[in-house]
Amino acid sequence: MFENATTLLSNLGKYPAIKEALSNPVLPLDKKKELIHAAIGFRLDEVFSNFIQLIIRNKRGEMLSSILLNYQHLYLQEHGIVEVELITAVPIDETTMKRMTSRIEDRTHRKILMQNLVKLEIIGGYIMTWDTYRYDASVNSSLRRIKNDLFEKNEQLIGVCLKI
Amino acid sequence: MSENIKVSEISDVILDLLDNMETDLLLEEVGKVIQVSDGVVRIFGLKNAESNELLEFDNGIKAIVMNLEEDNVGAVLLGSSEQIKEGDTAKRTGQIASIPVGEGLIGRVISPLGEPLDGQGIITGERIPMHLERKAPGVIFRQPVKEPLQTGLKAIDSMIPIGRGQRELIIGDCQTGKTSIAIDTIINQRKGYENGDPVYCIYVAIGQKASTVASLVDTLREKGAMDYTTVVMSTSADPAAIQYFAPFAGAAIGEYFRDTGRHALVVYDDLSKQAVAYREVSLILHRPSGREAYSGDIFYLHSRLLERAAKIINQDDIARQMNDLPEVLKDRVKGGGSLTALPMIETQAGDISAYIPTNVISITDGQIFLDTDLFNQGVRPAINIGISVSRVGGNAQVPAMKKVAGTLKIEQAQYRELEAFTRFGGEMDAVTEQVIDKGRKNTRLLIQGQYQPLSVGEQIAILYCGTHGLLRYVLIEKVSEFETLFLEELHIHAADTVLAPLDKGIINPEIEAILEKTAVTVSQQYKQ
Repeated sequence: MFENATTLLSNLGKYPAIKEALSNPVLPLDKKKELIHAAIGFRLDEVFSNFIQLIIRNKRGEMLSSILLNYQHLYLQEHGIVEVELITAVPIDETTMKRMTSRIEDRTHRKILMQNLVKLEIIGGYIMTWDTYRYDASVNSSLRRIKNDLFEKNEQLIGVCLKI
Repeated sequence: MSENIKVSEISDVILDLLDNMETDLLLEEVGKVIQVSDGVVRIFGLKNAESNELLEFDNGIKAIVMNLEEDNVGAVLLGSSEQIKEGDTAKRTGQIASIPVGEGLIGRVISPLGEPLDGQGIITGERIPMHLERKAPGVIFRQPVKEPLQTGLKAIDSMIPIGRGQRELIIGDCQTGKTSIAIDTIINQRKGYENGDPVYCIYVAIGQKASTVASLVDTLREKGAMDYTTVVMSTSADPAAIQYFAPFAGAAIGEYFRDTGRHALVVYDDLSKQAVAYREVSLILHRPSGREAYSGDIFYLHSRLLERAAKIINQDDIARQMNDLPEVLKDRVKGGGSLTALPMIETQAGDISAYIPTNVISITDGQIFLDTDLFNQGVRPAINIGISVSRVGGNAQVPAMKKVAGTLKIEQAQYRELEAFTRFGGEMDAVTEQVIDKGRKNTRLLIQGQYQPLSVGEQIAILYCGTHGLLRYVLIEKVSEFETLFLEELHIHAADTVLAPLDKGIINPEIEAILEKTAVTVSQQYKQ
């Protein structure tokens, strides 16, 4: 059921049209059910399917994201799991991932599920996100901070530079 | 940073700044956007977010926390909703929303976030972040309002005087001259600015047309008022959150001057639009709605804004202990400053018993009612003296004005009562006729052109003529001509002997004698 919820949540984020379709009063109930089943994919859990039907029947489709996020959060908390998202500019190899995972598990005494996402826009460094926390050690963010600090603290300097 | 930077030093300055740059890794608290609509965003996570805290999105857009709910945080966006989508990340900044304030704001047109809108480049000079939301000074840090704030308008300075630190509401239907009164007041501060006693003015435009504000700024610039005025602009095209915060930005700028021992005037034009914007934001946040669909705390919205207008105690050591002072400002605090507020409310069909008007009337220290009928009859400013009041009253008048115009309000009230009877026809006794004639001429005397403020001395001089019956031989159609000539004569022949002392609030039998003599001479031409 957790997998169904995670898949559906991910697809709701990627395809906003799903939410719009769920809120559409013209679309019949069974069409909405089909849409959700397609968004979840195969191995649909029966309990989860009934839950989705309950939501759609009571016209609470727009709350689905919020419900699924809460469920995800409570499930992870209950099972002592921490999902860690590691964003890097280049892919991290399996060995490094395992080493990092075990280091964090030793520190937090919880099960870690680490996912590596590659985003070139961070230029370098990494961004590590878990629960509601984030360590942002990306080059992109450091450059942005330098730029903002320079502008905020030195408007007069900027004024002089612009006149040159 | 030195005030004068040489071009050759720029690279050294930049290298120095880079060496001292904060590079430590920061642990950020983040949340995920689950819903965006109409300027409001709901964020999952941010368990430790605080009310009114500033949040920042990865693309730089900022939001302010308004709702703290069990499983999400509701925040209003300080930018376009189109740049935020579901799944975006927002982080806590740990800061309260504030506007950077400094001397560089004077003469500029800015947004409620402090960004320049007038195309004159970035705002230079030192700027101190002043919180948009801040508690008003406590009772101990205040003193009674005693210094006048001259509007330059005869009808107001004589009968509904405003003091520095007072809140005086300007209320009326659309197109009755509310903004004109405020602009005239701002223009009238020019003399004080030139004499070294400036009242720094902040005009907050809320939900207005950009063309209207542009025209206003042109007028202020033409009259030299932009030398001491800042315009905070949030047009009708701006998000409701920006319109909601605009008055708070104006108050924050005014507090900068107030807390550094100077005088400031803030005009909120108009608070009805701020109430509508707040209603919009509250409804989107699903806050419970009350009367007329306004949120239950609509009164608190205006009361906490207007309470920040105050006259601060003269003693520096007590003023420095004022509540909620920003840390950066503490060593510059001086007593004796003031922040005067001129809030405006627009009524519908003259209904002053509606929800928002009655709320704001009960908060302010008086109100100036503008009547559409009077406006259409040519009585401008179209002030209904009968129902206008200033709760500060004579305390905010110079002694000479108090003496000369003290009975004017009552006399005009008596005139209005008697005039009602004349509509029935019939003969009147001589005394009644005299009262009515005097009342009509005084009404004509109180009419004043737009952007033509008069000094205190000129006002006292001309009102002396009205209250002492010196216009009895002047035809009513010639009253304004008489006024012009009378003041010209005084400027030519009695500027130092009459106008100068009157400007300081001094009147004595010698001055009165000159006024009477001049009035008699001028009125000879208009004898009926």
